[in-house]
Amino acid sequence: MKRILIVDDAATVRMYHRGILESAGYKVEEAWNGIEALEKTLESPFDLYIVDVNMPKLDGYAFLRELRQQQGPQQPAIMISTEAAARDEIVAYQAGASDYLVKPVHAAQLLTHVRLMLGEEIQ
Amino acid sequence: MNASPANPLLEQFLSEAHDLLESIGKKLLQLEEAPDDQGILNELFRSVHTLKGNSGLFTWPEMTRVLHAGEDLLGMVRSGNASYSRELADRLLEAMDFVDVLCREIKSMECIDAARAAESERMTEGLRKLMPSKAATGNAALSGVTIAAAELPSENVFWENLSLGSVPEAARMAAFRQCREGETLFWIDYRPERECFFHGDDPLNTARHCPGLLWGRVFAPDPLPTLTDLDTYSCVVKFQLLTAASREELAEYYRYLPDQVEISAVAPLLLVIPQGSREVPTAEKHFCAEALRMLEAADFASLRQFVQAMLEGGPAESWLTSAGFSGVSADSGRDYVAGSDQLTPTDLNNRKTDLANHNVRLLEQILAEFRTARGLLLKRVDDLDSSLYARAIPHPRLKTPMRLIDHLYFVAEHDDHHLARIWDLVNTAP
Repeated sequence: MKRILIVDDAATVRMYHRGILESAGYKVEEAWNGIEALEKTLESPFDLYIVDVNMPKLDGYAFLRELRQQQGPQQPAIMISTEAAARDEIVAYQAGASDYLVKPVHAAQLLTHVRLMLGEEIQ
Repeated sequence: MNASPANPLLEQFLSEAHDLLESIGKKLLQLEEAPDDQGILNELFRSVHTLKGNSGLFTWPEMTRVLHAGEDLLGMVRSGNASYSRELADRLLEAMDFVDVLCREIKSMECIDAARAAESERMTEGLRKLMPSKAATGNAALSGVTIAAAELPSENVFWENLSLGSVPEAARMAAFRQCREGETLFWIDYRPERECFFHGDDPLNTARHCPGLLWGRVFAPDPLPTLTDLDTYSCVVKFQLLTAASREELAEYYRYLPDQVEISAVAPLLLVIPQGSREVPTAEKHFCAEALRMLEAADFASLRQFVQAMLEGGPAESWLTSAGFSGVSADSGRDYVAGSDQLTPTDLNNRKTDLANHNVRLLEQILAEFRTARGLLLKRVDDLDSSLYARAIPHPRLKTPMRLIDHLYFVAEHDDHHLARIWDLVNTAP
């Protein structure tokens, strides 16, 4: 079973994403900021990261940069932001994101991107 | 997503909202003690941002709208574009109280009362009013994007500023009405860098998704090379857009393209323009030349008449009478100001056009006079009390109420007919 880490300071959003992913058969863990996410990653890398931008202590960009520095580009990471501008998307990719979605993210949309990132068949 | 009492996500939202609102209230009070504390400000901003993001998972525009305005306002305080004040704190507290009321309503009624929409609008408006708006005082620079204030162009650039003429009449008419209802519209000239594709930009997408877009066009400002010489990796087009978005929205949207966009607030009267040639010499030049000629010829009677015309739109009026201008410039405008109950009927015996004998006059002179008369008319309309714009007066022949704007469009169209005829004559002249 593929393991996914949701990194978001909003418990409601974590719950929303967790519900979608678990119902699709993924094993999900949560972190409420970048620091906690890095700690969990050091214990055991995840197959995929879903990362919010604006978080306390360590934001999404800083987390991705640290993740890439520590573990390279192997694990895909989807950044989820409220910003739709192309430049925000570029900054996310520059930080190490593999994919970029703009909130609010619909369930089918999230699952499609997750499957794409994990190299699975898109249903 | 629909809220349901059995929905654990909804319960989670309400629980987190409660905590966030409590935290927001505390931080607002802390900021009153230490308004420069960036740490508190950042936490406050993040809390409002999170709450807004959470609300976006549901269909509660009344709540999301207020939180969005609060987030924008705090974002401006955080970036130094707005000052933290007691009033700002009070408004934010009031807004958060409103959000709290909505949360309680959702908890008890499983929905938000439809009547809250108006309250939400008022609350949002109150927050947005605290955001710096320099339309009335000058230029506003936000996030590096400069937005010029609305001004009627000075005489010497009058025609050069008519790029709004590319907007179809119906769209301009709709835009003008929006202006008159109090909205500020903006004109955007967006000239993407030639190498923009290599920077990850998507100009067409950026233009198409411009907030509040009313009308737009894309065109090549310079002649395109032949297809074989065309560099497909180079952007050679320009965009012109008319939008009803707020200056804050535009500054935010174009914050990464400050060198590629020019944004100007649109003076409403610029939307009321005639169609026709822009290649008209300045009125002043021809007026002076003609007046000097009359002076040198000691033709004081003609000179007096000509000067009078310049001041009142008289000789031009003799030509413009047939174009419907006399109704507005001399009579109808007064009808609107005087509060008449019917527009003054057109004088069907008026022979000023015939008597003016335009066929023996210089085309440039006729056009210059036309332009002068148009300028005087626009100035006269601009000087009117704005309350008169909405006033409708019955037309004596059409038996239908006409507002001043209706009348102006009528005039502009009639005028266009004459300009078209003039250019037809020019183009077919041997």
